[in-house]
Amino acid sequence: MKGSDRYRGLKKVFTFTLQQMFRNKSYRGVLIALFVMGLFSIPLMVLTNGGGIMDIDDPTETAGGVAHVYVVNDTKYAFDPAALATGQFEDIPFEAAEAIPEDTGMILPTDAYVVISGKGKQVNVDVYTAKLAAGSSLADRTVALVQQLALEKSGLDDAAIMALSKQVSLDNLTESQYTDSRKVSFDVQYGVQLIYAIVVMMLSIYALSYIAQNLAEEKSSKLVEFLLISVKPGALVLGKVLACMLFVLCMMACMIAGVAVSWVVSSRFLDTSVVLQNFMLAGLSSSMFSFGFSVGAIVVFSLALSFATFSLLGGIFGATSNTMEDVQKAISLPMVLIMAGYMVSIFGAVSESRTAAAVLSLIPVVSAFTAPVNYVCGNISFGLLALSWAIQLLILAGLAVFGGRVYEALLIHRGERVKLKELFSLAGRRERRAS
Amino acid sequence: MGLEVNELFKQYGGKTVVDHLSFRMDEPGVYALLGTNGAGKTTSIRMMLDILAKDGGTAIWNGKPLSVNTCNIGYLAEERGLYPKYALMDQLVYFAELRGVSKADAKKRISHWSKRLELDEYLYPEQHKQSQLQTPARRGMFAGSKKEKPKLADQLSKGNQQKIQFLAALLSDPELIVLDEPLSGLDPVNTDLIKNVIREEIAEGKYLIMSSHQMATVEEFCTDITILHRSKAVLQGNLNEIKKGYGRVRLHVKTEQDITRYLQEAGIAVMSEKECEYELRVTGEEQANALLFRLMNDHVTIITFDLREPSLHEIFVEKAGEADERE
Repeated sequence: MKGSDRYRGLKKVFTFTLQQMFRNKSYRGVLIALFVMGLFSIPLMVLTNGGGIMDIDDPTETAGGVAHVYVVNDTKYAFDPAALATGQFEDIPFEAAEAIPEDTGMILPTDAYVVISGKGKQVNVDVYTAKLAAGSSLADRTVALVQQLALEKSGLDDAAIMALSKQVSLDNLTESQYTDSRKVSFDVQYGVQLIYAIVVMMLSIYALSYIAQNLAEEKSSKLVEFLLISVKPGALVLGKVLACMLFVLCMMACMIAGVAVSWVVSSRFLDTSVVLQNFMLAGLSSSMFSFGFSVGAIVVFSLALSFATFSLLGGIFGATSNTMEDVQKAISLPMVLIMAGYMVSIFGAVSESRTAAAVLSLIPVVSAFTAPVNYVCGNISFGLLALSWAIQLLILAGLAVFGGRVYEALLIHRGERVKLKELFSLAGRRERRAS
Repeated sequence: MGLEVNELFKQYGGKTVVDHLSFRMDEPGVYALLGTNGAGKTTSIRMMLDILAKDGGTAIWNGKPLSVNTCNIGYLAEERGLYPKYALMDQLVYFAELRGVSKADAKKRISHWSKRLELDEYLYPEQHKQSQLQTPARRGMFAGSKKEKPKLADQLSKGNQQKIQFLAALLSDPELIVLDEPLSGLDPVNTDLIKNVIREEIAEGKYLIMSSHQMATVEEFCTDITILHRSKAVLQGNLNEIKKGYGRVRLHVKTEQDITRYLQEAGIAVMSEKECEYELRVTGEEQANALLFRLMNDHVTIITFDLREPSLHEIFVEKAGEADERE
């Protein structure tokens, strides 16, 4: 059979299935519900993390809750406090002060104190604020300003100051130190693993259940025999699987769009900084998302592999069901596999052993949840990740071949749901005949 | 040319379900595949149409293996269904497109068959409603009522669903039409409707394969038959010739008096009897004439005296019985 013949009608099956999914009220309801969930996510997080409604006219809201900055300069440098009033602090009054009041009761929660002190050539900058994020930003500005003043005082011209201001860092590391330096902190690794495992689990479970439902619906409609005149079993199943996969991606997109809209809108009137602060405390900092294009490609490829694997599993197990009632029973095994992969990946992330990371990255199913995270976090080499991909690709190809063998028999099978043992028997029978 | 089926063979778990079935259709007409339940009719059709892999044999259409690439096939499967929750029109357009018919052509053909099979009410509910409103008695009664929603399959009766499925089978204007139990479950009005369409398709020079265990229906249309019994073909050939081969051996007699005595004297086998109406098996015309002569001589009032060839039903039952005896 020519390849083109084998997949004739695939596009029509795909288009029709997707079209009907979008026309179906309950499927549309799911998309809307996910978008709405996304919309509510940020306000809910703000409120549950102790944030509140932001007064747009209040400059302290943009300045991280700081309303007044006092600068205590104990150095010989002529420091103008107003020079710090830039960016998020531009609407905040900066004032010189002699010292931090001894009576701390005099200090308001919205006050910030920048203390510049020096002994010999050493200059120290200390910032005291109620909120960490604002303090860190104030300290960075003050240090930069002090450095510039020191260079100006030494009589250098602007060009020399600019050249000296360029930061050059030096790393002198042994091989093991270098490898360790690639490792991210435990908190970050756990955070990344948690997020990635949740994404894989959501994609897999949704794909599995939607595909299985669609195939069972196809079989229970008793149309399969009529359709098989026009399309081959592989094309019929693949068309449905691909349509369901795209629908699941649309579901994810709806949720992400909801969160994005929510973030943009919420940040205009809610104090969203509390959400970021809590993420930072949980190890989920913005640095996690600044891995670059290559890591992004690795994550996307790994996600696509797991998504395709669990979708094909959904196709096979869905085709074993003859009625909608059978679907839940049929997908219980792959569902358990997904849950097991998720749980092992979460518990495995606690371990800091490289051997454990390597093993978890190679075990089928679990590797779908762990391999890219272990690579990104520096626990395994690219070679090991490639080996993990190769194993996953082999499984995917195996599932595709297995599915190709059993779809024909499964689609026109009637009666009780086909059990796992019978499934293998069907594939074996087909093989014998082919030989 | 035409259709040639050679040595089709299928086994399930060591059990033969189709045992080297062969037949051919050299010219347009109707070929009937007859058989008891489980005889292998549907499996044979599925193998011919490449829905099910063959364990042996070939199905050739005009010199090439029969498939949708070599032949425009219309198929009404034994197991029939529709997507219960999808709009009927969407489904039909989808089925037609899968068969390579453009959307525009599909809509034209659906419209044609919808009228022919009296399905406008379900496929074009809005237009149907408008035409109803133009009836003077109804005008104004429904004026301003809301737009009709497209009909879903599960809103139709079983018979109407079957007509939709029949329509779907004809959407590609097929040259080979395979109808597996086409009239089962239809009421007499719809049965006649479908029969008329089948007659039109025959008149247009289409090749039809009908599978059924309703012999009377098949007998109306078919020219050639294969009777399958327990996976084997037990009788094959042209129906008229098969019947001629049996001769006029069936006698239907209805009288006003009891004629059992005459039948016993003539040694005629009584197949059934009910209130002076007899189904008899005679050896031939001579025996029948002799009986008629005696009845007339004795002034027996004869209401019906019909000497004929055996019906397909009778041939089928006889052949199935013979096959059982052999086994």
